[in-house]
Amino acid sequence: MKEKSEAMSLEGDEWELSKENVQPLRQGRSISTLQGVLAQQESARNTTLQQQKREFESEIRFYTGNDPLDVWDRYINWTEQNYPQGGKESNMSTLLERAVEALQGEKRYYNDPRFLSLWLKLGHLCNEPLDMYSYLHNQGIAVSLAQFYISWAEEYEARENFKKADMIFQEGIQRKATPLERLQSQHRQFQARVTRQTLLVLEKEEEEEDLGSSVPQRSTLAELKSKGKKTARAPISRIGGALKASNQNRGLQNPLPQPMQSNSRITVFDENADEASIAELSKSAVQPWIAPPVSRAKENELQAGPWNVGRPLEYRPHDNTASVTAVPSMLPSFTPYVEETAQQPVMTPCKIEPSINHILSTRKPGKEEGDLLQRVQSHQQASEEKKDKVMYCKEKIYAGVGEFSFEEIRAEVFRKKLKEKREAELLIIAEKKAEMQKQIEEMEKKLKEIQTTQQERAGDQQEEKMPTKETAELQIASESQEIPGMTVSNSVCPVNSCARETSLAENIWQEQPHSKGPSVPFSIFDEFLLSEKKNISPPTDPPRALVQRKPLAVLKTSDSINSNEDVSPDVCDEFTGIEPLSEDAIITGFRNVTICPNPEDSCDFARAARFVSTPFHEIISLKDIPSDPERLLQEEDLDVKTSEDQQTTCATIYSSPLSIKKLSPIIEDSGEATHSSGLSGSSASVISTSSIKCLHIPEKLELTNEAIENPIQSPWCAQYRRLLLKSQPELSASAEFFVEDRPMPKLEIEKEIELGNEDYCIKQEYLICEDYKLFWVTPRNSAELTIIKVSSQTVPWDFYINLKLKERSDEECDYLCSYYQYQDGCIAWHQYTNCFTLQDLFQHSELITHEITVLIVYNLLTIVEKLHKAEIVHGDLSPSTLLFRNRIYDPYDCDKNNQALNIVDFSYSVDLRAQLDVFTISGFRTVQILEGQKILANCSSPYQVDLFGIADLAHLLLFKEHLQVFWDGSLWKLSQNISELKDGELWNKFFVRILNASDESTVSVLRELAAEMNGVFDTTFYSHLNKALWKVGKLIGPGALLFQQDRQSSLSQVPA
Amino acid sequence: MRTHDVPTALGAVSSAGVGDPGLPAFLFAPPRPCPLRAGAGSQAPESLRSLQPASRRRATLRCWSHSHSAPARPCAERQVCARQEPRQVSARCSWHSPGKEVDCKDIPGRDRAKMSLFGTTSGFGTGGTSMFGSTTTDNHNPMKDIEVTSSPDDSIGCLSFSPPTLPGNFLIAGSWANDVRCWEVQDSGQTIPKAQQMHTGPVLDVCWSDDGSKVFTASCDKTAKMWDLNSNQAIQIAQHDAPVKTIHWIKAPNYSCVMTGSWDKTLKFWDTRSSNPMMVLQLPERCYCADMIYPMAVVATAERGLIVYQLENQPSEFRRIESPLKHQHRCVAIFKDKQNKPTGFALGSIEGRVAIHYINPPNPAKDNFTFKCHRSNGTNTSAPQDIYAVNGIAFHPVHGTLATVGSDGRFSFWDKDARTKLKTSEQLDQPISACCFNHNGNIFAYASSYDWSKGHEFYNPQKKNYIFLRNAAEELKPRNKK
Repeated sequence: MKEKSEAMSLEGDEWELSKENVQPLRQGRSISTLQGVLAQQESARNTTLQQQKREFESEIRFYTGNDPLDVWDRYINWTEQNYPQGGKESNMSTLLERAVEALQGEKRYYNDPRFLSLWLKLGHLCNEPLDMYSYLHNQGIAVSLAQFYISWAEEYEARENFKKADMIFQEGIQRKATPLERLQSQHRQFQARVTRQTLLVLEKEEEEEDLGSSVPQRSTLAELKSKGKKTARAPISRIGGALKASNQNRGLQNPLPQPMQSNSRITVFDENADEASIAELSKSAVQPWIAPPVSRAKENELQAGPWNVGRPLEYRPHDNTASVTAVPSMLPSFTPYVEETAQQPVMTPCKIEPSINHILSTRKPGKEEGDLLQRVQSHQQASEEKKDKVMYCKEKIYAGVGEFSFEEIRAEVFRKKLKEKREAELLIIAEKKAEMQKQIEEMEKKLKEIQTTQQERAGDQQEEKMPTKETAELQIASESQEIPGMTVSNSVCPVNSCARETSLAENIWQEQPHSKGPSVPFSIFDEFLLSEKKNISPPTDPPRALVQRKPLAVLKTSDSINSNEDVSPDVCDEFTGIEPLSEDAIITGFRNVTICPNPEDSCDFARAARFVSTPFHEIISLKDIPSDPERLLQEEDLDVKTSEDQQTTCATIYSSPLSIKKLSPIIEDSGEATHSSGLSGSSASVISTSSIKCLHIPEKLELTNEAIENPIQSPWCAQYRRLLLKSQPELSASAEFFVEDRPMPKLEIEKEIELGNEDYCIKQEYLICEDYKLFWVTPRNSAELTIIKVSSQTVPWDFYINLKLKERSDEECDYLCSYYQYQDGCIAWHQYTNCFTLQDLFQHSELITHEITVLIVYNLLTIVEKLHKAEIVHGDLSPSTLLFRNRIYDPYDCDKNNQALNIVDFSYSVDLRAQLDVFTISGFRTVQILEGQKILANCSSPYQVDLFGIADLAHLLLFKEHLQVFWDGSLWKLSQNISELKDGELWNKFFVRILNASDESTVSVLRELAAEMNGVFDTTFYSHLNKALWKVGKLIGPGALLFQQDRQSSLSQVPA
Repeated sequence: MRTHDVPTALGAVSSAGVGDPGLPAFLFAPPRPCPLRAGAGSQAPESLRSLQPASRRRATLRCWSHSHSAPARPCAERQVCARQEPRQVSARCSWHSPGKEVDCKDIPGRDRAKMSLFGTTSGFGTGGTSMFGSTTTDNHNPMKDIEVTSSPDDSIGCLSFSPPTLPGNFLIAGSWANDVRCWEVQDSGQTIPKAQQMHTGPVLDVCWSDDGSKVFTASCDKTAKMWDLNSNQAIQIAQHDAPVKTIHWIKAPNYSCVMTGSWDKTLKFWDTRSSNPMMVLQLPERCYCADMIYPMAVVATAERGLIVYQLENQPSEFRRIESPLKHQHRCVAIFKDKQNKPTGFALGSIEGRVAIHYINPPNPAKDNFTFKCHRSNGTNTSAPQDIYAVNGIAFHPVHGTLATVGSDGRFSFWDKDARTKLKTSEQLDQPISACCFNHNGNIFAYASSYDWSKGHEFYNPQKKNYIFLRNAAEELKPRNKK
């Protein structure tokens, strides 16, 4: 509060301190604007003002409504309010001039009070406002407006020409100008003023006469000094009769020579001709306006010379001869003598160096010469007598105060279109959203009904299933009504918000004008097509390189590419492609400021440039070179070129393989390069499915906008991960991690690839997932099948998670795993021999015995427990991410029950110790799979995701379908009947515990469950297990699969 | 290999040659043998060696084509003839697999420039006609110039040819369809689309890095991008608060950076790897056009602002010049003196006039002048004269003469020293929105597309946009001084 009041007082001070800088306005000023304007800092004020000004400027140009005056009116009022000091900066006169020019042809505005006020403002700014009034009067502008006559009369009154003023009033009343009452009252007031004044004068005279003991005498030599510099004029002091005569006329005579009269023709002033008619007045007043002055921006025009030399017929120094048709006859026949010097513009002598002091610079003679009004009029007449025609849209270019270039006009149109489309898009979405909400409300009602009936029949188990089925149907129904690109969810979910953004961006993109017309798309010349035609075997590298990349991009639909590269400008306002510099030691000084703050110090700039261009960041951390600034300084001597090249390759790890010589229609950036793509690999497809799935009926049926309001960066975003990894330079120090500064080698069946120092032969493409592929490979001198995981991820996230896991769990790892990071992907080699994923097991579901199920679930529990201890959430416990190590080949390690499973993929994992901003469960893969399950709605901890993952896997193993649960009033239970299973009691306990863990520590829950499950392992169990495993190994072990394959291929070869 | 070779996005010179078997493909050897990447293997030197014979062989081809180059000899026919020599074709397209080129080692080398359409020899102007056989009445190409294939779908805002460091000629054009396209221009005049990049807004300016490995693009989306032709990746390198109107690559002895001028009234200097500008200079108004030849840069702004910068050591304002023109500035180009140093600039205005302005002239009143251009029926006083905007100015890199293009759909060639007009083209049916010369001045490229000079009402999206190439070797030679 205190601060606020202080601020208030400060604001008040602003006004108090700069009163003299505020021009008074007749209609007053809004104090808030005024204070705002006065209080703002120079720079801040400038930017906002410029922005607003720019908006007005473009509005003037692109106004499409039927009231253009409105824009001008607002613009002028805004200028008045925001430039209280007036002056050149406000550009008021130019603005008014342009406005008047632009609207001059519009007859409908002639009696619009706004138009009049515009003119009146212009009148205040020009030298001879009376001219303007007579011009307006002549043109018939505002002749039916009372205000016109009032102002006009005021002007005369100010010049003490009361008679004319009165005439003006009378004419107004005659013409019944509206509002007439106001005019009449003003007239009466005027008359009162005049009478009072004359009375005062008379009284004074009488007093003087009364006092007049001494008759006024001319004092000698008093005040006879000439006044005025150039044209000396002696002051007149009269006495006696002469004095009387002048005093009588004092009120009714204009003491100054009226400029308009002197301009029009030489008329000898006749005191007796006071009864000059109104008609005459208007007639004579118009004349100066007939001749247009020189337009400002005309090139190669002769400068105006002394007007009496050689051009005797012109009566104005800067007149064009063109339309002086009617006037000459009225000119006097003699040429008045004018001194040469009289016409010279007088320059203020200036002794101050203008470059030092800008304020007191010399006034440039003749630049702004000429009255506004004359220019306005000239504009009107210019078009008639133009010798040349401008072939561009001049009125658009110079519409407002400033000028616009063609490109700016076009860009403005472009921007507007984009905006309109976007708004329309949003509108549609909003409409649909409202519609959906209605539907949801309806369904909510239904649900409630169902629930009430459900509660009524709570006791009956058989009928219990009915309503759930019904809800399921409802879900389906609502899902089918889902509109793509739109999500309704009750949780703040970063993925959803992303989806919305991207879809929006996509929409905008699609409607951008580039895709208009039947124009042919830019087809890039394909050299290889041609060369192939000619039977020339193409260079082996390039096409292969493409082929190699493709399989990894299998699931990247064109949509995803679009959404990656074409984020609307608003979305990608921040820098995306550029690696933020984190070498603080070097950059600190330059980071948030312009690198070269001191313009005087020239070496500063160059040094700064070198600093920035020296390669130092990525490659150093990845290649395990200590990044020390001294070294970098030495590097200054390096050839610039080489350093640049190096830099391009290393700063942008994601640059595509250099060996690709062939061009395809271009994918602009690799997925990692932009922000929105950050959801790694197949993100786009995942998102789209999730956004569709999102419409389930949650516990609380609310549409929240929170998702839009906080666009949280997804924790799975590659950008985000890269940043995270950057802060851990020790990663690259690991012996298992190899950075290869080259594109990923191509992977082909039966070909060898080099990993580290070993060659591996690729045997089979084993599993294709969205983000990665698994291959079976054998080392060169061995038949052992091992697995490599190939992904297009450029962030070694798997490695990171594994490393952290090892670090935090302090356990010796029993297997080896090496990571090879390439420019465009990553290969992880796993030491496991003869293993396969759970996915294979599910394909042979008949092999899943009770024992195997128990073994797997038990292993899952232990693995996840380990992960959670290390504060890592896996997030995607699905069959394809888990390797099942077939123990049949190693029958004697049965005591190592907990090592049957291994995780190959951590793409969806989150390191909660490092990623502190993950609070919700949304976005995890498991959650996406279980989308629609109400149980998710009341979970908050990300750890619980893995519990559901385990439950889901167990459910899959037991029932061959995904988890289905319901709320029985106190606990979450399976929809399936467990009791019929072998060890049904065990499973029942298991599911109840794991589904209802709520806020307990997941580690303890997992340990508890594992301990419980451990009880099952006994000798009979083991014998059964071994049998089952043997079967599994025989049928679906990698050796078996390969063998089958071989046989098939040999079979197929035989007939050929 | 990487630094001096043709960037990947542009394709190997050899493979490009396939498209045009009759004419030179890799007669432009890389300037010098370059360090090889490890991946390139030991074959590369061989490929370099093989260059020599290849260019020799070209000489024979040239002789052949000369003997046949009667005025309207169809180019296609030449190609057909050439295809009858498949062995040479195969040899040509194997820059990267040099094992195949075996023969033709004994033909003496010749001056390579002379054998092409865009060489110094004349005859190209007539040759162009037959290439497209456009004898129809429509006057989209009244000058019968070579048409660039797959021209952009919307107005072309800027054109730029590759620097001399790159073998061959590559043309970049930015358009209002948000794209930047790249073509290889062969000496036959044939154009091969090479690559394309997109912005999220119209592209207003493009420029090349000095080594030809990168292209910088400025866009209405308020960003500038760097397009690395080796990897064919584009990354953002600059950010403004308003559309970026101009972009220039500055290569100084002690620094190199990208200069961007924007409608946000700033001129910014960027190192391509930092998200913060190295330097920001305030402009009095929105930047409308700029040109740069080290160590001089000139920026023309709205409200007729004109500022000259010097770039030595670091960019700094050199002088503000009162505009010699009375209307909006539209284009500016720096010209050089006899010593190849920038000495002044030509400034084009929206109202048909170009000013030649020297920075330090011995006699300002005499040396600086303006001339009218792009106006209709100049001397006929009865009808009003139509005045059009000057959309672009380009100086010939060899002769120092200049070309202007205008909204009237004409281009004109001028000799500023003799103060004469060298040539004016026929009128195209659309305005010419941009122009440029290639590095040796043999090719003049100009883009025919709507420049928005009459506002959106006159915009016809159906109208096709063209880029034309013209042999500029002869027509831009200055008049002999008597």
